[in-house]
Amino acid sequence: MSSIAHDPTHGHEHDHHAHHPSGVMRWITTTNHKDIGSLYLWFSFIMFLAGGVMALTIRAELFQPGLQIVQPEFFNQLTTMHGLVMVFGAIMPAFVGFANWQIPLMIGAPDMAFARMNNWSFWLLPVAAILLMGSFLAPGGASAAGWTLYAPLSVQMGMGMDMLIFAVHIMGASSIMGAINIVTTILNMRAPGMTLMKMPLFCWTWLITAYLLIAVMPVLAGAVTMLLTDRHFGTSFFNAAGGGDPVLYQHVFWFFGHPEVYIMILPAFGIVSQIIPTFSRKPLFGYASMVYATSSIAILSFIVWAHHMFTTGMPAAGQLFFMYATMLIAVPTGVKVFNWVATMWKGSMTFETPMLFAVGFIFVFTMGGFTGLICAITPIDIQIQDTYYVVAHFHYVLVAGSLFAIFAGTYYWLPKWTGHMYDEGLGRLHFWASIIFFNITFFPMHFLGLAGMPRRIPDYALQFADFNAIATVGAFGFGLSQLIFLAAVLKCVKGGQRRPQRSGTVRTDSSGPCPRQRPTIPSKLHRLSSKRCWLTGGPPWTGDQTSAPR
Amino acid sequence: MSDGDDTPQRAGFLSTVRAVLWSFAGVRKRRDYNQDASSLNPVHVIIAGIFAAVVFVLSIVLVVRFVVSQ
Amino acid sequence: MSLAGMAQATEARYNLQTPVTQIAQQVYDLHTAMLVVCLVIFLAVFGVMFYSVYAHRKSKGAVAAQWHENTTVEILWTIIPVFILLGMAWPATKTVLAMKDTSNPDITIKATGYQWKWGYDYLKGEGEGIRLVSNLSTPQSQIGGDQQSARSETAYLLEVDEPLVVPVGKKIRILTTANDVIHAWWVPAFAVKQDAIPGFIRDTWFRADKEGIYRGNCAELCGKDHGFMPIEVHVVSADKYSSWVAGRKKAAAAVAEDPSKTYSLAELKAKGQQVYDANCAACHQATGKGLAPAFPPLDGSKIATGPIADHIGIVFNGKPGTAMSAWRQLSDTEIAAVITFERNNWGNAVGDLVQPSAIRAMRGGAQVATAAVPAAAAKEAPTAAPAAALPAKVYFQVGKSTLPADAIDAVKAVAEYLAAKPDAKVDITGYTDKSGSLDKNLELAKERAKAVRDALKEAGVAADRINMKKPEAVTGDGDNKEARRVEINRAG
Repeated sequence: MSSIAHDPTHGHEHDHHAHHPSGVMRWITTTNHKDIGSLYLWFSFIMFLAGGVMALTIRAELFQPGLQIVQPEFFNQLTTMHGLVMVFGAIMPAFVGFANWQIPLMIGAPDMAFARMNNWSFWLLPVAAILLMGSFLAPGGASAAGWTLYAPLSVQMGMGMDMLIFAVHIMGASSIMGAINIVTTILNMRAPGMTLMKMPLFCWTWLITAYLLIAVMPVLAGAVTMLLTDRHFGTSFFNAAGGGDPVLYQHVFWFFGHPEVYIMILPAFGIVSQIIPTFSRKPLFGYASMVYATSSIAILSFIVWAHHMFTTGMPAAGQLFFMYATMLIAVPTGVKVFNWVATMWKGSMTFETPMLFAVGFIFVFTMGGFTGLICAITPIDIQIQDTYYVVAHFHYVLVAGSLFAIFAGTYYWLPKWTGHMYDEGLGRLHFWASIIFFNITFFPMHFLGLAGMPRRIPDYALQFADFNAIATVGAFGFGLSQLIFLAAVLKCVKGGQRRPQRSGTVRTDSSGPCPRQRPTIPSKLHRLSSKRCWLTGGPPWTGDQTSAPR
Repeated sequence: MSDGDDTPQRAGFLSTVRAVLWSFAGVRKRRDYNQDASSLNPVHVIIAGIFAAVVFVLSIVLVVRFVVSQ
Repeated sequence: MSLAGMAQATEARYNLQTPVTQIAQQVYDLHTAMLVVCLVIFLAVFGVMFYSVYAHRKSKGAVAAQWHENTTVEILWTIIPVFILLGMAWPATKTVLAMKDTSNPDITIKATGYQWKWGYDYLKGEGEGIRLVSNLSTPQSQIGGDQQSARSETAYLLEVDEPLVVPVGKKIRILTTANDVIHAWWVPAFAVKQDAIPGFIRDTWFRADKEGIYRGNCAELCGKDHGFMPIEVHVVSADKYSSWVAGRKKAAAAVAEDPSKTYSLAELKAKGQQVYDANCAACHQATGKGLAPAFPPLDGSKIATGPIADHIGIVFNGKPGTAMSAWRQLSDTEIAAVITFERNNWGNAVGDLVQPSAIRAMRGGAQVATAAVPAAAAKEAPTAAPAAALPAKVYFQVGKSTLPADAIDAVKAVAEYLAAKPDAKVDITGYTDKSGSLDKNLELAKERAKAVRDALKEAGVAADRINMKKPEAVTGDGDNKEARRVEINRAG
């Protein structure tokens, strides 16, 4: 059924042919989950490059001691915006893009539950991005209060801060609507026979992530709204003179902020949990445990937020509570790593690009996990909070974690999306360049933090000079390596080898690539092989394209 | 959370709690997971989950208070 | 731990700085232990993984096993890490409790974070009453200018003009607070970091076991110069500390400012220049031109040339919602001096001034009605350098030649200068603005000069030390206010 039949949702055409707009209008009015997924992914990549330019400017200034390129005030604007752009503009939309593309396909649904709201969720983002990036041009420049926007410093900022607040509200609305869409789709539109327990793990992790989004994005909205009213409407939420408390901001922000970091990593876990079994030709080890562990991580992520606030002056009991809770939550997270390794063990592995990124993810993300555990120990955190140690930690889990998983998923599913194979040579080059330069950039930062270099400073004492220089060189290498990724994606989209026919998975139609639109009522599932295939979820890969993996 | 009025439902309460506790540990046998999947009421699971989280937090608080009072 | 003992010998390059307090030693050891644990787990897990990557490759002919679950193994590898973590939590708990125990300090010092410097007040214990303000002392020319080769290897960006001094081996309790935004007081060698939160007081403590100089940074983003407000602590022997305390108290008494003193315009301007450079120039720049749009210019600004009450108000209270913080923590004399300076420097020549007593009255709640100075003579000789009294300018109102009240000070300063220097003489020259007829202006200029001469004679200056000097151009020099003046210059 690859021809596009009359679709009742497009009822107001002049003729009764199915008629979809083309050109720009197609992209503006699309309600198709694949189109919207592509829009999210391209938007995310553009924001990634923008945030990357800011990062390179920061690293260029930090290449040597002294102030050479930017003034301290602008430097702080760069660090602030780099964080916001990467978190809200690059990582989160990329995962939503994956969700849009893959979830309906994986559960056998024709599209997302609220297709029009889906369009709206996406198109809010470019508006928010223009506001956010436009804040550089406001009088006084962009906000320079750090991506965490602590009061009272953020209350001092100029108009750029108000634009930022507005942009955060818009992005929050987009995320909440997207999350509602995902929950509704997964809970209501699975094909007959597709029980929750048969869903690919990627769908599970996104289901849980969506609940987290719905729970905490409103909290962020509350925090920045209180900033807005403190700035302009005479409230004193964060001002002691008026009866408020600056630390209140930190509590509200981090109550959002900690679940937020899980929002940014759970979909990555899902992607990696799809890829490792496929390329090991072996089912995911402990699938049931993985589902349970993911849910418990999500719930327990709500009770650790103040480990970002150990130095604010909370009583010892508070420090101890959050230290214990954070250490305990590390356990199920770490255990998942064991599950992945156990999946690989006694498998039959090949190392195409998705597998390279997935294995690289496990290796480097785990290092980030260790440094996180070290940060969780309060007395140690007193020394390393607000230093480059923390910068190293979160870049390990967010870049080597989330970003590498995004790369892995892109290479893994590009053939499905485009019908072509990507260039394996480019993919491998991208992987090796990325992982090597990534480590050159961020590993020395652990030493810098331990030795006493604070974060968010444009100039530093001379003993920090050589590691900073190394980190800058690595950063430029890492940044340039991403152009390889762009080249690989463009080359694949434009054409390339056709991807191999699939077998061994459940299909609702037999043509490939995926047609743009599938029938509203899914046909019965054709189970071509055992139940186990749902666990892998994606196209089975072969290095030699001749046989199904066994 | 009702206990139900017939024996299978009573067992359901204990199973719910057991499933939630195992989820806190992050480990589950496939067979038990299938059993859970077919027999558990999701609403009960959510309630049990929240309750268990509260108990978890209170336990840590108790430990902390004990430690601090030393 | 002998491992830690060996590691201490290395510089802080790869690890935490050499600990100087027992708490810092505990933290150092805790970190070493965590590193070892993480390293062992890392090697175990990735040893397995990389072995698998090598041995279980399809290209080697590996055939995938089909098991995918083993609950016993999973339980084991969940429980064992929990026990490891419990092992780590125990010593960490002890250190947390020890860090929080600020009881029975020997000396209590309050550290206040400002944008962008630290202020220290010794509140209790030996040294009580000492107050320091600690600014970064690395010059701009070393940061972004042409003196970069002069940077100190150990202290670049970590040096201050007035370090904190404490005795070795004593328990020092540090109270932290802030004046504007959140800062954080951090000295890595002590393992002390405590947020400084405006409107609240937090505390922490340390007991340094070794004499030396220890450097730290502000550890919470606080604005543009967050990276430029370091902390320098000198830990000295008990004897050295006592003599330092004694020395500071003596110096403080010597420069004790009597806020009921009256100062001359020139004295206020001189002191105001120092206050400006230390506090205001960071934002409003040495040129007074500011940095648009965040930091407005003062040169030619409405506030600096307008009603003096507004000027005092904004310096004293700040401007909420902007980066202009309240500066009432400066002394009365400092505030009076810097306002006077700003109103009479660069292109500003308002001619009025503020006395410290007016600021003191404001603190007590009184409104500042006028900056006019009572004509009472000073009780003792001014401490400002006499040479600053000349050249002096006295300004007049339109068409008038009567000496205005606030010119009395300038006249007095000149008289005192002449009294201090028996050989010196002065030239007096009168000017007018452009308006009006030339004849009238020539007459007016002469009358004005005479008025000043008479005032000097009344103040005790001998007539033969005063020369009346005709100007080359009587009218129209500078803007109108500036033009209506009499200049008193050194003769010869």
